[in-house]
Amino acid sequence: MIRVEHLTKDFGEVRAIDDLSFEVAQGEILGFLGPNGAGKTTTMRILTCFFPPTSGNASIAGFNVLTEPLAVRRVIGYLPEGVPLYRELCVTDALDFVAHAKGFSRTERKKYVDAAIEETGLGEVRNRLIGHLSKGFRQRLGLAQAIIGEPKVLILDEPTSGLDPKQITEIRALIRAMAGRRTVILSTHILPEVQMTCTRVLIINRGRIAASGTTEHLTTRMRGGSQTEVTVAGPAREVRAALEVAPGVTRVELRSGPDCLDGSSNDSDPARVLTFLVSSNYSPAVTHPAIAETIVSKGWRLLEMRGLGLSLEDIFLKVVAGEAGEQPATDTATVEGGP
Amino acid sequence: MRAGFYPIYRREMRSYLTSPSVYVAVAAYLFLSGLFFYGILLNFSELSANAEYRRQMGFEQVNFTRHVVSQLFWSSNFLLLFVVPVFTMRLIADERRTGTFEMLRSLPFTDWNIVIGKYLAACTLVVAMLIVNSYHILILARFGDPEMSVVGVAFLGGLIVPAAYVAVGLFASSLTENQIVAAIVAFVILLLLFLAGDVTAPGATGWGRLLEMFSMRIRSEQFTMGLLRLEDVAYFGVVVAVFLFLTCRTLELTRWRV
Repeated sequence: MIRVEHLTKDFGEVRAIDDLSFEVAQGEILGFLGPNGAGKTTTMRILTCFFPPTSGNASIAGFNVLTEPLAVRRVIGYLPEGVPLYRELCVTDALDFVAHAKGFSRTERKKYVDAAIEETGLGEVRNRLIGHLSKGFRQRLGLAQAIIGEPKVLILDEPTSGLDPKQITEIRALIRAMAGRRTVILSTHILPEVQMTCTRVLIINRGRIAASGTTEHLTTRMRGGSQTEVTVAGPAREVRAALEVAPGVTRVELRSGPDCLDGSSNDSDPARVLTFLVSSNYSPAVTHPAIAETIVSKGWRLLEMRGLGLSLEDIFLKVVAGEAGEQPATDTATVEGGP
Repeated sequence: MRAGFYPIYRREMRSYLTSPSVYVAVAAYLFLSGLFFYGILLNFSELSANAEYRRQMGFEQVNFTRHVVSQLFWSSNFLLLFVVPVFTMRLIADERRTGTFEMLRSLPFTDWNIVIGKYLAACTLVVAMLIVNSYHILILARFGDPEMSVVGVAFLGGLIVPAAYVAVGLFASSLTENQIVAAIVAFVILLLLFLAGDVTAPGATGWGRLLEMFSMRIRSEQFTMGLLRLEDVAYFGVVVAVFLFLTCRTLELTRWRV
C-alpha cells in the first residue's frame, strides 16, 4: 500500500533522512518511532507531497508522490503535527471543507461528515467554533479531518501529543479500531503508544532505519526471554536461592528490602517483604507459573508479580545508543512497560 | 472527482464573515467613503455658488459629472489602496503561520486552485463592499443629473482597479508568515505602482514616459473620467496575471525551501 524506496532529504547541509526504504501492507498500523529530529515528520511530509525528496521515490496505493501528487492526496488522510485547524470555522464546516476538497458531492459530504463526527465522538461540539474547542476535541477533529471520505491511507503525525491520559487512551482506541480497515502510519516518540496501537514498528534514528518488525518480534530479538518483578514475603536468602533454580531463570536480583542480604540475622526473617527482578530465557507464559509454584510450594507468601518483558524502551535505547556507538544502558527495566 | 478552487473560495468566504479585522476595515471604508462623499458635495455646492464669478473670470466651468462623479470614484480607488491590503494580508500568511497550510497542501489542490480560490474570495468581498457603497450613486442619480455613461465606466473601473490591488495583496501575503508584514509589503507595492507616474515632470519622455505608463493612478483616472480604453483594461489585467503568477511561483518555491 505504501512503498518507500531509497528516500533521502537534505535541508541545506543537514541530511534529515538518509536512504530510507520500507513498505507498509494493506491494513497494517505502522508505528514510526524515533527521538525528536529523527526524520519522522520529514518522511511523512514527503508522503503527503508537501515537499519532494532530494532523491529516491515513494508511492501510495500505486500512485507516485513525485508524478501524481493529486492522486496521492486523494487517497490519504493526514493529521499534521500540532493539529493545525481553521479556528474561525465550526466543526461541521471544517469537516465539510476537507470532504469538499476531496471532490465529494453535497450528499456524500453530509454522509461522510456525519460518519466522521460519529466515529470520533464529536457530536456534542459539532456546531461549535474550533477556536473554542478544548485540546482533546481539537485533536479528535484533526483525526476526523484525516479519516473523512474513508481514505485508504492515514498518516498521523504525533496524534496524541499534548493530551491528558484519558484523551490519549481514547485516541489510541480510535486508532486501534482502524486496524485491518485502513492502512495507518503514525509517528510518535512515546514508546508504550507503539506497543498499544501498532501492528508493526519502525525505529528510525538520524534519518536511518535502526530496527523494524512487529513489537513481539523486536522484543524477543533484542532481548530474548522475559523479565518479571516478584514481591514476596519470606527469608531473603532462601527465596533467592529457590528462584535461582526455577526453570529458565538466568538471573535473580534483589531490588528492594532493608539491609539487602547483608548476612545479618534478619536475612532469614520469614516476614520480610522483598522485591526481586527475575530474568528468564522463557516467555512470561512459562516463567510466571514456574515462579509462583516455587514460592507457594515453599510456603512463602507471593504478594505481587509483574511482567516487565515487553519493554520497547529497552529496545529503543539499545538501538539508539548502539547507533551512537555507545553501550546500551544495562538496567533499564525499572521503566514500566507491562501490559 | 476534481474539486478545483471552489472549496477554497467557499472556506475563505466563511472565514471572512467571522474575521473582526474585515468588519473593521469594511466599516472604515464605508465611513470614510461617506465622509468623502459629503466633502465632495460640499465642495461642489460652493463651486456652484460661485459659478457666475467663475464664468466671468474665465475659470474652468463647474461640471457635475467631473466635480462629483469622477471625484467620488477617484476617492474610492484611493481608499481601497489602504483597505485591500487588510483583506488580503491573512490569506496565505496566516495559513503558513498556523500550519493549516500543511493540511491544505495534503489535500488534492494544485497551487493554482489555492491562488485562484483565495483571489476570487477577496475580490468577492471587495465587490460586495462596493455594491453596498453604491448608494452614493443612487443618491446622485436621484438628485442630480450625472452623465450615466461616465458613471458606468467609472463604476466598471472601480471594479477593475481593486481587482489588481487584490492580486498584489495576495502576492504580498505569500511572501511571509506575518500578516502585518504582508499588509505593509502590499501597501508599499501598491503605492509604488500608484505613484509611479508622479515622480516625473508632465510631458516627460523616455524613462519618465515609461513610468507614467506603469502608473496605476494615471490609468485609473481614465476610468474615473469616463474613458474606457482597452490599454488601461489590459494594463490592470496584466497586473492581475503577473501577481497571481508570482504568487504561484512563491508557493512552489516554499515547497523546495521549507
